[in-house]
Amino acid sequence: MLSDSDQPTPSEPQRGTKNGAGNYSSNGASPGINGNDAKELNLDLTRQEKRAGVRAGDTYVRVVRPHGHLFKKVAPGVLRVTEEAIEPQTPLLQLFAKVRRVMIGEPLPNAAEITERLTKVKALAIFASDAMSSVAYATEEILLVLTLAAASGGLEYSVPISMAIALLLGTVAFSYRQTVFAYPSGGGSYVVSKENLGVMPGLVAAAALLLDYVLTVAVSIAAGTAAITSAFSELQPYTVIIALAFITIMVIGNLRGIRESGNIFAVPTYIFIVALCMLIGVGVWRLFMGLPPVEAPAPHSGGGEPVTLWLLLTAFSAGSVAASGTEAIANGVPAFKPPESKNAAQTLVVMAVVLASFFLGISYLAHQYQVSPVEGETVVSQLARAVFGTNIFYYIIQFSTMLILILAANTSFNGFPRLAWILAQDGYLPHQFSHRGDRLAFSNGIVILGLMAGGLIVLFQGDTHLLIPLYAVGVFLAFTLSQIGMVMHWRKTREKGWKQNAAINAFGALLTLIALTIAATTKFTRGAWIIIVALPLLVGLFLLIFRHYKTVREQLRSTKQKASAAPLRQIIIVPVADLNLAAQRALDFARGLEEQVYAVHVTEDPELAKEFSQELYEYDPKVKLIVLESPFRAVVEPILRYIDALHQQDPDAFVTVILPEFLTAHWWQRLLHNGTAAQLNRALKPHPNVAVVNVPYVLEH
Amino acid sequence: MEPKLKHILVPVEGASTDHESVMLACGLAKKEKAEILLLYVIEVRRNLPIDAEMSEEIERGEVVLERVQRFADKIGCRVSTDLLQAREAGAAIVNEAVERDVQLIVMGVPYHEKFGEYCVEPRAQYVLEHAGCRVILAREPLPLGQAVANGR
Repeated sequence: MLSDSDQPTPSEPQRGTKNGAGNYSSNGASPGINGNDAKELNLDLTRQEKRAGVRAGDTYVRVVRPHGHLFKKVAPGVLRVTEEAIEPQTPLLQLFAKVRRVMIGEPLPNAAEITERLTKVKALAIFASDAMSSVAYATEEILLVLTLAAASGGLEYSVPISMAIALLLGTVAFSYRQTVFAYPSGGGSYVVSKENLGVMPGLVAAAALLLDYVLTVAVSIAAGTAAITSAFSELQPYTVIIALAFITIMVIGNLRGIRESGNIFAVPTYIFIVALCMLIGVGVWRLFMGLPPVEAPAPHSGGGEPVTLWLLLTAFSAGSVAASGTEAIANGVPAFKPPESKNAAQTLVVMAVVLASFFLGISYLAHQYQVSPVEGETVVSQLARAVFGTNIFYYIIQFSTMLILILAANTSFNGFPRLAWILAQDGYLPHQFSHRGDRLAFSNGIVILGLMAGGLIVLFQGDTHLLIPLYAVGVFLAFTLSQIGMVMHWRKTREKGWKQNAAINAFGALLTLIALTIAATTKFTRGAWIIIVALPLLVGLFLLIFRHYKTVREQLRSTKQKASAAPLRQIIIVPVADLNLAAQRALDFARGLEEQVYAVHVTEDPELAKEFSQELYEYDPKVKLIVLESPFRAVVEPILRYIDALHQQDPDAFVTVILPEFLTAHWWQRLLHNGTAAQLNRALKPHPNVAVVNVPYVLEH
Repeated sequence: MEPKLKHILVPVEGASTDHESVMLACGLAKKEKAEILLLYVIEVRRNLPIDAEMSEEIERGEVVLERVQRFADKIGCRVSTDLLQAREAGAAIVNEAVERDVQLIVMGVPYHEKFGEYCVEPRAQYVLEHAGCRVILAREPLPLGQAVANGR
């Protein structure tokens, strides 16, 4: 083994060959700007050490990567940042990072994106929970309208209306199935409308969907909370707090990433599916066996209004909420495991079949068991009592219904951030929405959705009845635009079978347009006007944001192909109060940039200024000093004015202000200093031809 | 008296045997509180200088080391890594073991046949012959068909 003295020295990298960064790498020195010897740096942070082996002539090379734990070399000139490199440096930030990791998990690299994709089983739970949850109340919504004409036999129309809604659902699902294949990058109604109908319809669809996602969270969480506070009335005063707690859980769960949120939220969805299968299966079996209800539902009590077309259409519109949430899969195609479109389409079909079966099953059973809405008990609850009685199965159905109502919000937590991301990519929403968090989830979208829904809950005090009228108008508007968009798509592409596909979409558009018109009309005075007012405002906001980004792009667009041969002329100014170590460091730094340095000294006492001038001359005679006598004791303003005045003498030059700044060892020590450097920094920032450089000097104690 | 086990060297090469040898080394290291050094050796062809910049090979080495390091992390074992360029991997492993004051080399070896007979691959052969410290070889299991054919 060689001793330290006779070991070969670290070898110089390849002479005459380019190193990883595309620079000629050597440990030698090259002249700097002012004739200083500037070291050429090894940008890829690796060096080679030649080592002698045990046997004579047995040489080998150690590739030393002292910063290998922070940066991994992946290609010449390319380093990949490791997880360790993003660790915060200060104890407070480290603590914050630890808490965040406990809450939302370890950060995932971009490469893990593919492993974060969803299987069909998890995707069904995530994207279908909203649609599934509507089974819990859609039949009831129809019956509530038809009860007005109960005496005239209005309830007899519940099953035909349910079938019409199932047809609508099937048509919408079929349309989105086509969309999934035609637009595999996701986007649903927004993308389809924008590409086929134009920007404005696209933005209207997007605004409608975004509003609807926020309302879905607020309504479903409020409904779930109401289920709990109904069961435990002592919790009623805490309705808002409980609802906000649910939203917080949803936000945290979704910040943990789509796969993990799938793990967390899939179980309740499947419990609900099994529970409903049981309810419908046993209910139908009992009917066929001619068995009477275990607990007879309350007798019909309703009005004697005549059965009119308007009544039937209103019932149809009310029940059409069952179709909401269908678009979520079309929005989230990229979240599926490959082949994305095929998996998304299959999941969509399964969702539509399950949803339609449950909806029709509940409506059929409600009709057969003569269940009608009563105060204080839901239709599903009455049905469960009729089929099972008040036993464990009844409670399973009630509990899983409560869970699915809360989980319906989860679909929005996937839909909203994705749509916001697409809009941000197109420049209609702030770019912050396209940011992916530690777990590859669209964190900002998730948090904003949580805040907005939380705001609604607080505003409406968690009251479902006040929130529901706002709901469903947006979704039908988006559906209609999307379906019309698909008709245009088929006309443009003229693929095989396009006429048939276009006809189906046109039929769907007609049905959703009817549902939209009725919903907007019947719910207008009960709150739907808020949505009708909010929609154009939101579209206006999109356009404003887009215009801003467009203007910024135009202003930043460069026409220069190459850098100027002559370097930018600089005027270097160093404001100095005292010739201490911090000021000396700043002056030395300034001299490294330019030969001529101007020092500016503001004083109230001309005698002290003379002493300072002498001191500075002795330190560096090349520095030109100007003393600003300030009888009004101002410091910042005189320096600003003087810099402006000096700059006017050479307006083409760039002014660089070097600020000496000492950093205190503890945060509280900062309070004991007047922070002139920080004030100057702030004041100089808006100047277009002034750059500010802070030269730090760290105090030890 | 046996020297105390302080450093264990585990050469890796992106083969299926890497994880097995790391697992074995981790078990021993935990017992003895020893440190593990993962080593990847790039063999430089004779027509190139020994210190030639081998970007692609370094990149591959980094990937292999990172993968094995992550595996070691997962089984609760902290390891450091080393990347060498040498004419022959076996000699570099032996030299690095001396340089790093290693008391044990744990190597994974693939099942390798020459003229119908099992033989130790040259890298492992060299280490077995020349390493001053103890060497443990972890041979990969035989493929099922091969095991049956060999009557095992």
